[in-house]
Amino acid sequence: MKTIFTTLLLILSMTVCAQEISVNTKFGKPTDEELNLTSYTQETNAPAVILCRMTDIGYDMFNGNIKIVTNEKVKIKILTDEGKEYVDIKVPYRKTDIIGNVKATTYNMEGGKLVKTKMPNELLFREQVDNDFMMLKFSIPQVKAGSVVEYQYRIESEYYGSIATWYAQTDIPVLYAQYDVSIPEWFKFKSEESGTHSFEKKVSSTSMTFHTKGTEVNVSGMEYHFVGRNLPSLKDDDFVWSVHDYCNKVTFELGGIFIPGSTYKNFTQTWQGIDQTLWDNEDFGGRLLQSNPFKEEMAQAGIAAISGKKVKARAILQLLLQKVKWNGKYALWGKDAKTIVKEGSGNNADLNFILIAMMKDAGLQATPVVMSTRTNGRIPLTHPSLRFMNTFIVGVADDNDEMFFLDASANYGDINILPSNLLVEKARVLRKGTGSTWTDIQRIAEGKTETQISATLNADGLLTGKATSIYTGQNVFTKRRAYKAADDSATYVKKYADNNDIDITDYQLEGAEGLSDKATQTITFTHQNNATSDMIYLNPILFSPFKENPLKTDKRELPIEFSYRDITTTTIRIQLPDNYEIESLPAATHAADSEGKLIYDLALRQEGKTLVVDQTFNVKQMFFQPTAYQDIKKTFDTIAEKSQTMIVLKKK
Amino acid sequence: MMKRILLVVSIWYTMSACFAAGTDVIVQHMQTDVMCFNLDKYNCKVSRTVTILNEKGRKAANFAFSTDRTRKLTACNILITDANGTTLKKVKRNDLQSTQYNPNMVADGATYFFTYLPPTYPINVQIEYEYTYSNGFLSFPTFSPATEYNTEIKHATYTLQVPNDIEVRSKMFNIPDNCITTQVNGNKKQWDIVLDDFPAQQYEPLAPTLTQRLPTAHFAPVKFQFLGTSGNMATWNDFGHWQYALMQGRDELDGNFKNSLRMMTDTCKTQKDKVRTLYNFLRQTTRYNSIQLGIGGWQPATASDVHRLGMGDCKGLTNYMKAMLKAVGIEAQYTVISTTYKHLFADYAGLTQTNHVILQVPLPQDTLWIECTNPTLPLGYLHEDIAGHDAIVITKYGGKLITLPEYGDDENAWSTTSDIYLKENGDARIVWQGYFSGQHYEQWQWTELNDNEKNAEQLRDIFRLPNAKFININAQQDETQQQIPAVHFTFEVECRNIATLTGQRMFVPVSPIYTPSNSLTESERRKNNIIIDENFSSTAITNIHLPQGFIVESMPQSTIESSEITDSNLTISTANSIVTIKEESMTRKGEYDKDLYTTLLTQNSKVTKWKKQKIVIKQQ
Repeated sequence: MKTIFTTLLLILSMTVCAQEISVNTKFGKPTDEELNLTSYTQETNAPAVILCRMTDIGYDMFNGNIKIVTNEKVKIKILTDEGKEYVDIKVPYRKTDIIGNVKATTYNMEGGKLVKTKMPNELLFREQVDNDFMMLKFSIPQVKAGSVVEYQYRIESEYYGSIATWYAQTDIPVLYAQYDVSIPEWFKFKSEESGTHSFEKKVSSTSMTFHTKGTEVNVSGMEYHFVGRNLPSLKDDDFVWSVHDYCNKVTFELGGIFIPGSTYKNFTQTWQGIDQTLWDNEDFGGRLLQSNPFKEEMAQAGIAAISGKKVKARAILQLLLQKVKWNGKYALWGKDAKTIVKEGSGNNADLNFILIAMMKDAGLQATPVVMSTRTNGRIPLTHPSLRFMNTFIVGVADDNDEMFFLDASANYGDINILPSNLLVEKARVLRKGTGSTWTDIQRIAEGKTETQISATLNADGLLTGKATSIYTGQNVFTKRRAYKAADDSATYVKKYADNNDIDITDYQLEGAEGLSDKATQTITFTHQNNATSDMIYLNPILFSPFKENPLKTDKRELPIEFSYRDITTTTIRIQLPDNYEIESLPAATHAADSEGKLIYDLALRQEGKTLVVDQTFNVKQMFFQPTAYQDIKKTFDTIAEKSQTMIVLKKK
Repeated sequence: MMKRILLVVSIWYTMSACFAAGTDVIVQHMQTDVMCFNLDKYNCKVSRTVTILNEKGRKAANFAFSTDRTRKLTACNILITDANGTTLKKVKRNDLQSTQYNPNMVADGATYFFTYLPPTYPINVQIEYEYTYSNGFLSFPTFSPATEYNTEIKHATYTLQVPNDIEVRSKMFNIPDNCITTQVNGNKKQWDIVLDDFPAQQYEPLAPTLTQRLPTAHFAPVKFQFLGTSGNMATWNDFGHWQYALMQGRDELDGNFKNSLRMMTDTCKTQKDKVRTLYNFLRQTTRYNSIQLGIGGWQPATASDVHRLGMGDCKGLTNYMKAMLKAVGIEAQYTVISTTYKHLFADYAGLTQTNHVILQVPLPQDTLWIECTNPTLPLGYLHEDIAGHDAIVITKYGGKLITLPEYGDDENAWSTTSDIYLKENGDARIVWQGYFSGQHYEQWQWTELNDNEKNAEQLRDIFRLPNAKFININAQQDETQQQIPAVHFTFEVECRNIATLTGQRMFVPVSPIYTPSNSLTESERRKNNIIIDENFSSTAITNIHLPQGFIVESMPQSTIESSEITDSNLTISTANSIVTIKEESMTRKGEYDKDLYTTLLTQNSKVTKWKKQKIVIKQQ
């Protein structure tokens, strides 16, 4: 009931909005309303708005060959000078595709008269991008603030089994977007729509006729029709991993092909089928059969003698990373071990295949855990598909039947300590036969930082102390990467001191090198507080999670995604100078979202001559709905505000 | 934690990576042999062996070569070996990847490339390649064995052989005279350069640019042929003749259009008003678009094409503006300039020194310099990439090397006044006013261009006011300033937690809202002198209006931090429940001894610390 109600509301609110400017799906004849529009009411600062976009996908036959044909038509209204860039168009296509029917027209009102400018062919460019891809570029002429621009193109492709995901939203608002897909019964596709705005959808059966080699082929099929209206602009930001996860979109996944006269080809529709595809593929299953190229090195390093599966696995990864380098890329398919060892570097798949071979050699049960990285986006829920998967990590069975994870890209990590991009909710543990299962990598997505500070304050306001921070879980990776990335440790220390408003006289980071599950930072520092002859004004909040709220906007439409669950605790003990007393201590602070998933606590107390500060910042979940935004922002505000806490000490 | 926070770390990574001192790459051996056959054709063979010592030098293992209608890569062999001499990778010409794709613009040609990630260090990369020019050329290959920071040169040679009848000109930087020999061999002249042991150059803040420090030799034929054109480039004047010829007949406009331009400007009272009218017309009817085809990217599109399409690159738009001005009887000159280098070599003309085109409009009172690719700038504004730069003005008399003017010190105002009306709960209403003129205008121009919503968004970021409620935002050109653009920018805002409360007291930061500040990076054992390009002075006044019943209990003392390079005058005073903080700073342009850098750092850190202090106020 609830869903029906919301849908109704949505439709109602849409009709109300839609009165602002009416949709004109005709091309070649912009309405006065379209021509005279000066700003888009729903988003007044939009530089341009897509008035109408129509994507039509269908099939055709040429000389007996089936091709998939895409016709794209777009009508844009340019509202500001900045908006002119939306008519420099780039269309990627395969080398084997035929791209044509490229047309563009600009409509301008000049002195009350409609002036139409067609794009001449001289503004059309085709460039080779790499061995497989080309890029069509065109710049539409006579575009000014106020122009209505229409363009279209057509792509014929022999890859008839693949329909690209249709993204209805972009970084400018869309008034109307229509997607029509007609598929002959020879192809079985599954479709899925997702996004926060609703699509109008119609599916009907139809019949189609193809003319080829002088004959006529009649076939029945399905027609899909989607319409999105008043879709707001969608801009990527630093608080979500993949903005496409939240984009209104339609995907089509091929299930099977049945062309009369040929045998039915079944395409992967089940995860078991996908598993098998991977096993059967030379660049995946084939790589899993390769032998360990570092047999000798492992023997020399005495790997066999190491007891404890995790310790052994760590030693193996460490050895691998000494021999070959990760090139910064993620992939699903790998090259053969020999080539990789010779070249000395590869993507994570290349290296992980070798890692698995090494593990097996050492008697460990290692298997690929296939996933779509967080920046690549979540995998669709309803239809199994390999094309969304873009990498795998290595899972190893521990004694207690639990599985631990490693990856060749985790050069700053350890067992179960991985780059945050790999901490996905759903990954597939690949096992022979029907034994594959789903696993949640986010169960290891936890980090912890514990800091103990003991310091002494003198009558001049100078605070001198020592701070020890212990990083565990994913925080080891984060800390080590930051430190190693700076390369020059002096630069790192300087920046760290500046960020925390202290002067550092000695800095040590234990566990900075190699793989381990813990890093310990020890620093000696000073911090000058303001003081007069009988007063000291002390800011005791050293190491605040942040001094400035990173969330700055009033509203937010997208969710907020954290890298991992993270708990930071800081205990500060400050020895106060003799003959001084604290005027008053601020009350304890507690800030949290309504669900209690993001919590900040600060408490100050006096124990004899010692001031004790306890600070905890706990992010208990990784995903927050946009509705939690105000709560989170408020909590962050409190943290920033409390980082400025002042205590007054008065001479007795 | 969040992606944003990780992002900060990564930005910082790139910075520190380039600040770190040392040597990352050693050019063990580099040999460049150039054989010129005639004005159409030469052949160049390069053999280079480098040792990459660590990851920061890894890009030295990559190779890229761009081809076009004049040049072709005929051979390429790359051999990569580790410290023991074991072969890690072999690459041949056919193994190179290629692309025509260029993310920004359309241009002729394709790029052949090879990228490699060394698995171990040190590593040796031996590259041998050969290319030919066969359709004319403007210059010979440049001798520049090092092009990056932290690259040491052990041994590098260069040989150029040219038929006796071809006159050659040259220009050297940082190459001792005794490294160069010339001789005549039969019907050929020969130049030889042998350079040994040139130390690695490190990045240092405020140091001379890398190109000023590295050894470089330029050679070019005096007379040249190039893609069916020919000319002489002995001097900038000669270059101007060639460029002028390339533009001949490209400023024709259709008669009707010319008439409409005349009608548009008929009512203008002055020449300058006419220019302004056409400049506005250019803004409204065209856009910048980089299409670099044609003669090596030096021939502008015809004015009628730019008119027909409503777009063009810098050459096309400039030439179009020139043609429109001509139609209304104003002569203007096409002017070639570099946005990267302030100075061109007066005694060595060369097109690789320039990358941009602007328009010179000599008017009776003053000369206007027009940037045609960014018409949001006020007419004639000397933006930072052209102000004070050398340029070549092209006329029928050839090219003339001139220097563009720049705004004077008294024309460059940077002054702000903020009134902070503090409330008892630590919140405040802030009225901020800024006045920016001359070269500083550019940095604040966005305030004029944006709408209030966007301005508020930007202000929250720049002024670090996450919870600000903007009551009023207003940006206005100073109309009284005709010659020097200036903007008055004011905003009024309600902010939370400007001050911290503790019992009866309130702690107010000395600098509660953004004021200009420097940030300098440490650089140990500095080798280069300090270069300050321009004078900079600013004044920031902050008036903190205390809430009723509050008095100042403690505040920092006024201070003056002075050095040869810069003065910072920080004063604080209180009267009538208003605490006034005045931050004045003046940095003087010039070249200073490298040892002063430590002084500069200390001074800078003192100022930063002063600004972080707090004023303590107390309820009476």
